[in-house]
Amino acid sequence: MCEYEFSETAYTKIIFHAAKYPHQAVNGLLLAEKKTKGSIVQITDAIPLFHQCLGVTPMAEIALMQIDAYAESAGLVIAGYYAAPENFYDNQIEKAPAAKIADKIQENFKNACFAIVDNKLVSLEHKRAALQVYSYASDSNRWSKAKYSLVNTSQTLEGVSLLLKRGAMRDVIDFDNHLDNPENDWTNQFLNQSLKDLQKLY
Amino acid sequence: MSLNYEEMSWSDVRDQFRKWREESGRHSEDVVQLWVAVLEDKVHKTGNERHLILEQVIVAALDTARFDIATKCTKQLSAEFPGSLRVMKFKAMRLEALEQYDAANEVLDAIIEKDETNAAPRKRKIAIMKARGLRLDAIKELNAYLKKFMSDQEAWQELCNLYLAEGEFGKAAFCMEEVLLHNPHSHLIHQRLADIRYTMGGVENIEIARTYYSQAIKLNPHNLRALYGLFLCCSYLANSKAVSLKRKESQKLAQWALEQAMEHTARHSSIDNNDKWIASLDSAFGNLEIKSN
Repeated sequence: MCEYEFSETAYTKIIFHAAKYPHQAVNGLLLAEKKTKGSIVQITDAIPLFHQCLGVTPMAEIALMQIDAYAESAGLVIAGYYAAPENFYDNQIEKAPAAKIADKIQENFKNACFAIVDNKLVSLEHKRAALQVYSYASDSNRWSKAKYSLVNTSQTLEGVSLLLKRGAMRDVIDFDNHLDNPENDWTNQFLNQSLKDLQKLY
Repeated sequence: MSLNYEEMSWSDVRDQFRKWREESGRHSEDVVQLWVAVLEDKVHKTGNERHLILEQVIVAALDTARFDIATKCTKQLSAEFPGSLRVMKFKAMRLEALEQYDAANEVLDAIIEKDETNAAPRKRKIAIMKARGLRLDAIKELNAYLKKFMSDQEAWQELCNLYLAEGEFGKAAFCMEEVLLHNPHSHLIHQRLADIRYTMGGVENIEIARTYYSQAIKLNPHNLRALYGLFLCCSYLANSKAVSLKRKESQKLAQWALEQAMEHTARHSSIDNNDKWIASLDSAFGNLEIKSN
Protein backbone atom coordinates (compact mmCIF):
# COMPACT_ATOMS: atom_id res chain seq x y z
CA MET A 1 0.00 0.00 0.00
CA CYS A 2 1.39 3.29 -1.01
CA GLU A 3 1.00 6.74 0.42
CA TYR A 4 1.21 9.93 -1.57
CA GLU A 5 2.05 13.51 -0.87
CA PHE A 6 1.00 16.23 -3.28
CA SER A 7 3.01 19.41 -3.56
CA GLU A 8 1.19 22.73 -3.67
CA THR A 9 2.07 23.20 -7.31
CA ALA A 10 0.75 19.79 -8.32
CA TYR A 11 -2.51 20.15 -6.42
CA THR A 12 -3.09 23.69 -7.60
CA LYS A 13 -2.56 22.78 -11.25
CA ILE A 14 -4.96 19.84 -11.03
CA ILE A 15 -7.69 22.04 -9.59
CA PHE A 16 -6.96 24.84 -12.06
CA HIS A 17 -7.26 22.45 -14.98
CA ALA A 18 -10.59 21.14 -13.75
CA ALA A 19 -11.84 24.66 -13.04
CA LYS A 20 -10.75 26.03 -16.39
CA TYR A 21 -13.05 23.56 -18.19
CA PRO A 22 -15.97 23.18 -15.80
CA HIS A 23 -18.24 21.52 -18.33
CA GLN A 24 -15.76 18.99 -19.67
CA ALA A 25 -13.79 16.05 -18.41
CA VAL A 26 -10.08 16.75 -18.05
CA ASN A 27 -7.10 14.56 -17.39
CA GLY A 28 -3.39 14.82 -16.90
CA LEU A 29 -0.24 13.22 -15.59
CA LEU A 30 1.48 13.44 -12.23
CA LEU A 31 5.23 13.65 -11.90
CA ALA A 32 7.30 12.69 -8.90
CA GLU A 33 10.95 12.76 -7.92
CA LYS A 34 12.76 9.71 -9.20
CA LYS A 35 14.04 8.79 -5.76
CA THR A 36 11.25 8.15 -3.31
CA LYS A 37 11.99 9.26 0.25
CA GLY A 38 10.85 6.37 2.35
CA SER A 39 7.52 4.86 1.48
CA ILE A 40 5.74 8.06 0.53
CA VAL A 41 5.63 9.00 -3.14
CA GLN A 42 6.02 12.75 -3.46
CA ILE A 43 4.07 14.13 -6.38
CA THR A 44 5.83 17.35 -7.23
CA ASP A 45 4.17 18.43 -10.44
CA ALA A 46 1.13 17.88 -12.60
CA ILE A 47 1.03 18.12 -16.39
CA PRO A 48 -2.49 18.83 -17.65
CA LEU A 49 -3.21 16.84 -20.79
CA PHE A 50 -6.61 17.06 -22.43
CA HIS A 51 -10.01 18.59 -22.09
CA GLN A 52 -11.70 17.18 -25.17
CA CYS A 53 -12.32 13.72 -26.51
CA LEU A 54 -10.52 11.89 -23.75
CA GLY A 55 -11.54 8.51 -25.09
CA VAL A 56 -9.28 8.48 -28.13
CA THR A 57 -5.69 7.40 -27.75
CA PRO A 58 -3.32 8.79 -30.40
CA MET A 59 -2.63 12.16 -28.78
CA ALA A 60 -2.39 10.50 -25.40
CA GLU A 61 0.39 8.27 -26.74
CA ILE A 62 2.23 11.28 -28.20
CA ALA A 63 1.87 13.17 -24.95
CA LEU A 64 3.06 10.26 -22.82
CA MET A 65 6.19 9.81 -24.94
CA GLN A 66 7.07 13.50 -24.92
CA ILE A 67 6.40 13.92 -21.22
CA ASP A 68 8.42 10.81 -20.46
CA ALA A 69 11.42 12.39 -22.17
CA TYR A 70 10.77 15.69 -20.42
CA ALA A 71 10.48 14.04 -17.01
CA GLU A 72 13.64 12.03 -17.60
CA SER A 73 15.64 15.15 -18.31
CA ALA A 74 14.28 16.88 -15.22
CA GLY A 75 15.06 13.96 -12.91
CA LEU A 76 11.39 13.17 -12.53
CA VAL A 77 9.25 10.20 -13.41
CA ILE A 78 5.62 9.85 -14.50
CA ALA A 79 4.14 8.63 -11.25
CA GLY A 80 0.44 8.97 -11.69
CA TYR A 81 -2.63 10.05 -13.58
CA TYR A 82 -5.43 12.39 -12.59
CA ALA A 83 -8.86 12.78 -14.11
CA ALA A 84 -11.92 14.90 -13.47
CA PRO A 85 -15.17 13.27 -14.67
CA GLU A 86 -17.54 15.26 -16.85
CA ASN A 87 -20.61 14.73 -14.74
CA PHE A 88 -20.71 16.75 -11.52
CA TYR A 89 -21.76 13.82 -9.37
CA ASP A 90 -19.39 11.21 -10.76
CA ASN A 91 -16.60 10.59 -8.32
CA GLN A 92 -16.19 6.86 -8.56
CA ILE A 93 -13.15 5.33 -10.14
CA GLU A 94 -15.27 3.36 -12.57
CA LYS A 95 -16.53 6.60 -14.09
CA ALA A 96 -13.10 8.13 -14.50
CA PRO A 97 -12.32 8.90 -18.13
CA ALA A 98 -9.46 7.20 -19.98
CA ALA A 99 -8.47 4.97 -17.09
CA LYS A 100 -6.32 2.91 -19.45
CA ILE A 101 -3.67 5.60 -19.28
CA ALA A 102 -3.40 4.99 -15.55
CA ASP A 103 -2.96 1.27 -16.15
CA LYS A 104 -0.22 2.01 -18.66
CA ILE A 105 1.58 4.29 -16.24
CA GLN A 106 1.36 1.69 -13.51
CA GLU A 107 3.08 -0.82 -15.77
CA ASN A 108 6.11 1.44 -15.85
CA PHE A 109 5.97 2.72 -12.28
CA LYS A 110 4.80 0.21 -9.71
CA ASN A 111 3.57 2.73 -7.16
CA ALA A 112 1.60 4.80 -9.61
CA CYS A 113 -1.29 6.79 -8.24
CA PHE A 114 -4.70 7.37 -9.77
CA ALA A 115 -6.28 10.60 -8.56
CA ILE A 116 -9.90 11.42 -9.24
CA VAL A 117 -11.06 14.98 -8.77
CA ASP A 118 -14.18 15.11 -6.62
CA ASN A 119 -16.14 17.78 -8.47
CA LYS A 120 -18.39 18.57 -5.55
CA LEU A 121 -15.42 19.66 -3.45
CA VAL A 122 -13.95 21.99 -6.07
CA SER A 123 -15.33 25.29 -4.89
CA LEU A 124 -14.30 28.85 -4.26
CA GLU A 125 -14.05 28.02 -0.57
CA HIS A 126 -11.80 25.01 -0.56
CA LYS A 127 -12.24 23.26 2.74
CA ARG A 128 -10.93 19.81 1.97
CA ALA A 129 -8.58 18.51 -0.64
CA ALA A 130 -10.80 17.68 -3.60
CA LEU A 131 -9.10 14.45 -4.60
CA GLN A 132 -9.68 10.76 -4.17
CA VAL A 133 -6.48 8.85 -4.57
CA TYR A 134 -6.02 5.21 -5.45
CA SER A 135 -3.02 2.99 -5.74
CA TYR A 136 -2.69 -0.33 -7.47
CA ALA A 137 -2.84 -3.48 -5.43
CA SER A 138 -1.01 -6.07 -7.48
CA ASP A 139 -2.46 -8.96 -5.50
CA SER A 140 -6.04 -8.06 -6.33
CA ASN A 141 -5.26 -6.48 -9.71
CA ARG A 142 -7.30 -3.42 -9.14
CA TRP A 143 -7.04 0.11 -7.89
CA SER A 144 -7.87 0.57 -4.24
CA LYS A 145 -8.12 3.65 -2.08
CA ALA A 146 -4.87 5.07 -0.80
CA LYS A 147 -3.91 7.65 1.78
CA TYR A 148 -2.65 10.98 0.64
CA SER A 149 -1.80 14.35 2.03
CA LEU A 150 -0.94 17.80 0.79
CA VAL A 151 2.20 19.69 1.61
CA ASN A 152 1.08 22.55 3.88
CA THR A 153 -2.58 21.62 3.66
CA SER A 154 -4.25 24.76 5.00
CA GLN A 155 -1.93 27.07 3.10
CA THR A 156 -2.48 25.17 -0.15
CA LEU A 157 -6.25 25.13 0.22
CA GLU A 158 -6.35 28.81 1.10
CA GLY A 159 -4.08 29.66 -1.80
CA VAL A 160 -6.17 27.69 -4.28
CA SER A 161 -9.40 29.32 -3.08
CA LEU A 162 -7.90 32.77 -3.44
CA LEU A 163 -6.52 32.11 -6.91
CA LEU A 164 -9.77 30.56 -8.12
CA LYS A 165 -11.65 33.66 -7.03
CA ARG A 166 -9.25 35.77 -9.08
CA GLY A 167 -9.79 33.58 -12.16
CA ALA A 168 -6.17 32.42 -12.19
CA MET A 169 -7.18 29.03 -13.55
CA ARG A 170 -7.27 30.51 -17.04
CA ASP A 171 -3.47 30.63 -17.00
CA VAL A 172 -2.96 26.89 -16.87
CA ILE A 173 -2.08 25.36 -20.22
CA ASP A 174 -2.70 21.77 -21.16
CA PHE A 175 -1.40 19.58 -23.97
CA ASP A 176 -4.58 20.20 -25.97
CA ASN A 177 -3.85 23.94 -25.90
CA HIS A 178 -0.34 23.20 -27.15
CA LEU A 179 -1.62 21.05 -30.02
CA ASP A 180 -4.00 23.85 -31.01
CA ASN A 181 -1.18 26.36 -30.96
CA PRO A 182 2.45 25.31 -30.34
CA GLU A 183 3.16 28.66 -28.69
CA ASN A 184 1.33 27.37 -25.64
CA ASP A 185 3.71 25.90 -23.11
CA TRP A 186 2.40 22.65 -21.60
CA THR A 187 5.21 22.65 -19.09
CA ASN A 188 3.56 25.75 -17.61
CA GLN A 189 6.90 27.32 -16.74
CA PHE A 190 5.36 30.73 -16.21
CA LEU A 191 2.62 29.43 -13.97
CA ASN A 192 5.03 27.26 -12.01
CA GLN A 193 7.22 30.26 -11.33
CA SER A 194 4.24 32.40 -10.28
CA LEU A 195 3.06 29.70 -7.91
CA LYS A 196 6.54 29.36 -6.43
CA ASP A 197 6.74 33.10 -5.89
CA LEU A 198 3.35 33.10 -4.19
CA GLN A 199 4.36 30.25 -1.92
CA LYS A 200 7.44 32.19 -0.79
CA LEU A 201 5.22 35.02 0.35
CA TYR A 202 3.58 32.91 3.01
CA MET B 1 -9.32 34.26 -23.08
CA SER B 2 -8.78 37.68 -21.59
CA LEU B 3 -11.06 40.41 -22.80
CA ASN B 4 -10.57 43.99 -21.83
CA TYR B 5 -13.99 45.01 -20.61
CA GLU B 6 -13.12 48.64 -20.09
CA GLU B 7 -11.95 49.17 -23.63
CA MET B 8 -14.75 47.33 -25.43
CA SER B 9 -17.60 49.40 -26.74
CA TRP B 10 -21.08 47.97 -26.97
CA SER B 11 -20.70 47.34 -30.69
CA ASP B 12 -17.48 45.40 -30.07
CA VAL B 13 -19.30 43.27 -27.54
CA ARG B 14 -22.18 42.75 -29.93
CA ASP B 15 -19.75 41.58 -32.62
CA GLN B 16 -17.99 39.27 -30.20
CA PHE B 17 -21.32 37.76 -29.17
CA ARG B 18 -22.19 37.23 -32.81
CA LYS B 19 -18.86 35.49 -33.41
CA TRP B 20 -19.44 33.19 -30.44
CA ARG B 21 -22.97 32.42 -31.63
CA GLU B 22 -21.72 31.44 -35.06
CA GLU B 23 -18.93 29.28 -33.68
CA SER B 24 -21.22 27.72 -31.03
CA GLY B 25 -18.56 28.50 -28.44
CA ARG B 26 -19.41 28.09 -24.78
CA HIS B 27 -17.90 31.20 -23.19
CA SER B 28 -20.56 31.53 -20.55
CA GLU B 29 -18.47 33.35 -17.97
CA ASP B 30 -17.30 35.92 -20.52
CA VAL B 31 -20.80 36.44 -21.97
CA VAL B 32 -22.27 37.16 -18.54
CA GLN B 33 -19.48 39.53 -17.54
CA LEU B 34 -19.59 41.43 -20.81
CA TRP B 35 -23.38 41.63 -20.64
CA VAL B 36 -23.35 43.08 -17.16
CA ALA B 37 -20.45 45.42 -17.80
CA VAL B 38 -21.25 46.74 -21.25
CA LEU B 39 -24.15 45.48 -23.27
CA GLU B 40 -27.07 45.36 -20.88
CA ASP B 41 -27.73 49.08 -20.94
CA LYS B 42 -27.17 49.42 -24.66
CA VAL B 43 -28.93 46.33 -25.96
CA HIS B 44 -31.84 48.30 -27.39
CA LYS B 45 -29.38 49.68 -29.94
CA THR B 46 -28.71 46.27 -31.43
CA GLY B 47 -31.92 46.15 -33.41
CA ASN B 48 -32.93 42.73 -34.69
CA GLU B 49 -30.08 40.96 -32.98
CA ARG B 50 -31.54 41.87 -29.62
CA HIS B 51 -33.53 38.69 -29.22
CA LEU B 52 -30.66 36.45 -30.25
CA ILE B 53 -28.42 38.24 -27.79
CA LEU B 54 -31.00 37.87 -25.02
CA GLU B 55 -31.24 34.15 -25.71
CA GLN B 56 -27.46 33.87 -25.65
CA VAL B 57 -27.29 35.70 -22.34
CA ILE B 58 -30.03 33.54 -20.80
CA VAL B 59 -28.18 30.35 -21.63
CA ALA B 60 -24.88 31.78 -20.39
CA ALA B 61 -26.49 33.01 -17.18
CA LEU B 62 -28.04 29.59 -16.50
CA ASP B 63 -24.64 28.03 -17.18
CA THR B 64 -22.95 30.21 -14.57
CA ALA B 65 -25.81 30.05 -12.04
CA ARG B 66 -26.70 33.73 -12.43
CA PHE B 67 -30.41 33.07 -12.12
CA ASP B 68 -31.19 36.74 -11.56
CA ILE B 69 -29.91 37.66 -15.00
CA ALA B 70 -31.60 34.68 -16.62
CA THR B 71 -34.98 35.47 -15.10
CA LYS B 72 -34.74 39.15 -16.03
CA CYS B 73 -33.92 38.41 -19.66
CA THR B 74 -36.54 35.66 -19.93
CA LYS B 75 -39.16 38.11 -18.64
CA GLN B 76 -38.14 40.59 -21.34
CA LEU B 77 -38.53 37.94 -24.04
CA SER B 78 -41.83 36.60 -22.73
CA ALA B 79 -43.25 40.12 -22.52
CA GLU B 80 -42.55 40.57 -26.22
CA PHE B 81 -43.57 37.04 -27.27
CA PRO B 82 -46.30 35.88 -24.90
CA GLY B 83 -47.12 32.18 -25.12
CA SER B 84 -44.09 31.47 -27.27
CA LEU B 85 -42.82 27.89 -27.17
CA ARG B 86 -39.29 29.10 -27.73
CA VAL B 87 -39.46 31.18 -24.57
CA MET B 88 -41.13 28.30 -22.72
CA LYS B 89 -38.02 26.25 -23.46
CA PHE B 90 -36.02 28.70 -21.36
CA LYS B 91 -38.43 28.16 -18.51
CA ALA B 92 -37.65 24.46 -18.75
CA MET B 93 -33.91 25.18 -18.93
CA ARG B 94 -34.12 27.21 -15.76
CA LEU B 95 -35.72 24.27 -13.96
CA GLU B 96 -33.04 22.06 -15.43
CA ALA B 97 -30.33 24.37 -14.12
CA LEU B 98 -31.95 24.20 -10.67
CA GLU B 99 -31.77 20.39 -10.99
CA GLN B 100 -35.55 20.12 -10.79
CA TYR B 101 -35.47 17.61 -13.60
CA ASP B 102 -38.97 16.19 -13.25
CA ALA B 103 -40.56 19.64 -13.42
CA ALA B 104 -38.34 20.50 -16.38
CA ASN B 105 -39.36 17.32 -18.17
CA GLU B 106 -43.03 18.19 -17.65
CA VAL B 107 -42.58 21.57 -19.30
CA LEU B 108 -40.64 20.00 -22.17
CA ASP B 109 -43.26 17.32 -22.71
CA ALA B 110 -45.91 20.06 -22.88
CA ILE B 111 -43.92 21.86 -25.58
CA ILE B 112 -43.45 18.65 -27.59
CA GLU B 113 -47.16 17.91 -27.34
CA LYS B 114 -48.01 21.34 -28.73
CA ASP B 115 -45.49 21.08 -31.55
CA GLU B 116 -44.25 17.67 -32.65
CA THR B 117 -41.76 19.10 -35.11
CA ASN B 118 -39.91 21.12 -32.51
CA ALA B 119 -36.45 19.64 -32.15
CA ALA B 120 -35.12 21.77 -29.31
CA PRO B 121 -37.16 20.41 -26.36
CA ARG B 122 -36.38 16.84 -27.40
CA LYS B 123 -32.69 17.62 -27.24
CA ARG B 124 -33.10 19.25 -23.85
CA LYS B 125 -34.71 16.06 -22.57
CA ILE B 126 -31.68 14.13 -23.75
CA ALA B 127 -29.42 16.70 -22.07
CA ILE B 128 -31.31 16.14 -18.82
CA MET B 129 -30.73 12.40 -19.08
CA LYS B 130 -27.04 13.06 -19.60
CA ALA B 131 -26.91 15.35 -16.58
CA ARG B 132 -28.58 12.69 -14.46
CA GLY B 133 -25.86 10.26 -15.51
CA LEU B 134 -28.27 8.09 -17.51
CA ARG B 135 -25.92 7.82 -20.43
CA LEU B 136 -27.41 4.67 -21.95
CA ASP B 137 -30.91 6.16 -21.88
CA ALA B 138 -29.56 9.29 -23.49
CA ILE B 139 -28.00 7.21 -26.26
CA LYS B 140 -31.27 5.38 -26.86
CA GLU B 141 -33.30 8.60 -26.98
CA LEU B 142 -30.74 10.31 -29.20
CA ASN B 143 -30.88 7.40 -31.65
CA ALA B 144 -34.67 7.69 -31.78
CA TYR B 145 -34.37 11.46 -32.25
CA LEU B 146 -31.90 11.07 -35.11
CA LYS B 147 -34.25 8.70 -36.94
CA LYS B 148 -36.65 11.64 -37.18
CA PHE B 149 -34.23 14.54 -37.48
CA MET B 150 -31.52 12.97 -39.59
CA SER B 151 -29.63 16.07 -40.62
CA ASP B 152 -29.01 17.48 -37.15
CA GLN B 153 -25.22 17.68 -37.08
CA GLU B 154 -25.06 18.80 -33.49
CA ALA B 155 -26.97 15.67 -32.49
CA TRP B 156 -24.66 13.37 -34.44
CA GLN B 157 -21.67 15.00 -32.72
CA GLU B 158 -23.26 14.53 -29.33
CA LEU B 159 -24.09 10.89 -30.07
CA CYS B 160 -20.49 10.36 -31.14
CA ASN B 161 -19.26 11.76 -27.83
CA LEU B 162 -21.67 9.57 -25.89
CA TYR B 163 -20.52 6.45 -27.73
CA LEU B 164 -16.89 7.39 -27.13
CA ALA B 165 -17.60 7.73 -23.43
CA GLU B 166 -19.10 4.23 -23.49
CA GLY B 167 -16.19 2.82 -25.47
CA GLU B 168 -18.33 1.94 -28.51
CA PHE B 169 -15.79 3.15 -31.03
CA GLY B 170 -17.38 1.53 -34.08
CA LYS B 171 -20.67 3.32 -33.52
CA ALA B 172 -18.85 6.55 -32.68
CA ALA B 173 -17.01 6.33 -36.00
CA PHE B 174 -20.34 5.93 -37.80
CA CYS B 175 -21.70 9.08 -36.14
CA MET B 176 -18.57 11.02 -36.98
CA GLU B 177 -18.90 9.88 -40.60
CA GLU B 178 -22.41 11.40 -40.64
CA VAL B 179 -20.97 14.69 -39.45
CA LEU B 180 -18.30 14.40 -42.12
CA LEU B 181 -20.97 14.07 -44.81
CA HIS B 182 -22.20 17.53 -43.84
CA ASN B 183 -18.70 18.99 -43.60
CA PRO B 184 -16.54 17.26 -46.18
CA HIS B 185 -13.90 19.98 -46.10
CA SER B 186 -13.39 20.14 -42.37
CA HIS B 187 -9.88 19.09 -41.40
CA LEU B 188 -10.96 18.78 -37.78
CA ILE B 189 -13.57 16.15 -38.52
CA HIS B 190 -11.24 14.12 -40.72
CA GLN B 191 -8.73 14.22 -37.91
CA ARG B 192 -11.27 13.28 -35.24
CA LEU B 193 -12.47 10.36 -37.34
CA ALA B 194 -8.87 9.24 -37.78
CA ASP B 195 -8.39 9.45 -34.00
CA ILE B 196 -11.35 7.12 -33.48
CA ARG B 197 -10.12 4.66 -36.10
CA TYR B 198 -6.63 4.64 -34.60
CA THR B 199 -8.10 3.94 -31.18
CA MET B 200 -9.99 0.96 -32.58
CA GLY B 201 -6.67 -0.56 -33.54
CA GLY B 202 -5.77 -3.28 -36.00
CA VAL B 203 -4.06 -2.89 -39.35
CA GLU B 204 -7.24 -2.14 -41.33
CA ASN B 205 -8.42 0.60 -39.00
CA ILE B 206 -4.98 2.16 -38.84
CA GLU B 207 -4.76 2.22 -42.62
CA ILE B 208 -8.12 4.01 -42.70
CA ALA B 209 -6.85 6.37 -40.00
CA ARG B 210 -3.77 7.09 -42.08
CA THR B 211 -5.98 8.08 -45.02
CA TYR B 212 -8.07 10.42 -42.90
CA TYR B 213 -5.01 12.01 -41.27
CA SER B 214 -3.52 12.57 -44.71
CA GLN B 215 -6.71 14.26 -45.87
CA ALA B 216 -6.72 16.45 -42.78
CA ILE B 217 -3.15 17.52 -43.49
CA LYS B 218 -4.05 18.24 -47.11
CA LEU B 219 -6.85 20.49 -45.91
CA ASN B 220 -4.73 22.12 -43.23
CA PRO B 221 -0.96 21.53 -43.30
CA HIS B 222 -0.64 22.97 -39.80
CA ASN B 223 -2.94 20.54 -38.03
CA LEU B 224 -0.46 19.33 -35.45
CA ARG B 225 -2.68 16.50 -34.26
CA ALA B 226 -3.01 15.17 -37.80
CA LEU B 227 0.75 15.30 -38.29
CA TYR B 228 1.39 13.40 -35.09
CA GLY B 229 -1.41 11.01 -35.95
CA LEU B 230 0.08 10.33 -39.37
CA PHE B 231 3.42 9.65 -37.70
CA LEU B 232 1.80 7.16 -35.32
CA CYS B 233 -0.10 5.35 -38.06
CA CYS B 234 2.88 5.10 -40.39
CA SER B 235 5.20 3.95 -37.62
CA TYR B 236 2.71 1.25 -36.68
CA LEU B 237 2.36 0.12 -40.28
CA ALA B 238 6.11 0.23 -40.80
CA ASN B 239 6.48 -2.23 -37.92
CA SER B 240 3.62 -4.43 -38.98
CA LYS B 241 3.67 -7.57 -41.07
CA ALA B 242 3.13 -5.92 -44.43
CA VAL B 243 4.92 -6.15 -47.76
CA SER B 244 8.39 -4.67 -47.39
CA LEU B 245 7.77 -2.03 -50.06
CA LYS B 246 4.72 -0.76 -48.16
CA ARG B 247 6.69 -0.76 -44.93
CA LYS B 248 9.44 1.36 -46.45
CA GLU B 249 6.82 3.77 -47.78
CA SER B 250 5.24 4.03 -44.37
CA GLN B 251 8.58 4.59 -42.72
CA LYS B 252 9.38 7.46 -45.08
CA LEU B 253 5.97 9.00 -44.54
CA ALA B 254 6.40 8.69 -40.78
CA GLN B 255 9.73 10.51 -40.98
CA TRP B 256 8.18 13.25 -43.06
CA ALA B 257 5.27 13.70 -40.69
CA LEU B 258 7.54 13.90 -37.67
CA GLU B 259 9.77 16.44 -39.37
CA GLN B 260 6.77 18.57 -40.28
CA ALA B 261 5.51 18.41 -36.71
CA MET B 262 8.93 19.32 -35.39
CA GLU B 263 9.31 22.21 -37.80
CA HIS B 264 5.89 23.57 -37.07
CA THR B 265 6.42 23.35 -33.33
CA ALA B 266 9.97 24.71 -33.37
CA ARG B 267 8.84 27.80 -35.20
CA HIS B 268 6.34 28.73 -32.51
CA SER B 269 7.12 26.90 -29.33
CA SER B 270 8.42 28.60 -26.26
CA ILE B 271 9.24 25.36 -24.49
CA ASP B 272 12.92 24.65 -23.94
CA ASN B 273 14.17 21.58 -25.70
CA ASN B 274 10.84 20.97 -27.37
CA ASP B 275 12.62 19.40 -30.31
CA LYS B 276 14.24 16.89 -27.96
CA TRP B 277 10.85 15.74 -26.68
CA ILE B 278 9.56 15.34 -30.20
CA ALA B 279 12.71 13.54 -31.30
CA SER B 280 12.17 11.10 -28.47
CA LEU B 281 8.98 10.00 -30.22
CA ASP B 282 11.11 8.39 -32.86
CA SER B 283 12.95 6.15 -30.45
CA ALA B 284 10.22 5.54 -27.92
CA PHE B 285 7.66 4.31 -30.35
CA GLY B 286 6.44 0.87 -29.67
CA ASN B 287 6.93 0.97 -25.94
CA LEU B 288 4.00 3.11 -24.98
CA GLU B 289 1.09 1.94 -27.07
CA ILE B 290 -2.17 2.29 -25.19
CA LYS B 291 -4.41 -0.48 -26.32
CA SER B 292 -8.15 -0.13 -26.43
CA ASN B 293 -10.27 -3.22 -26.36
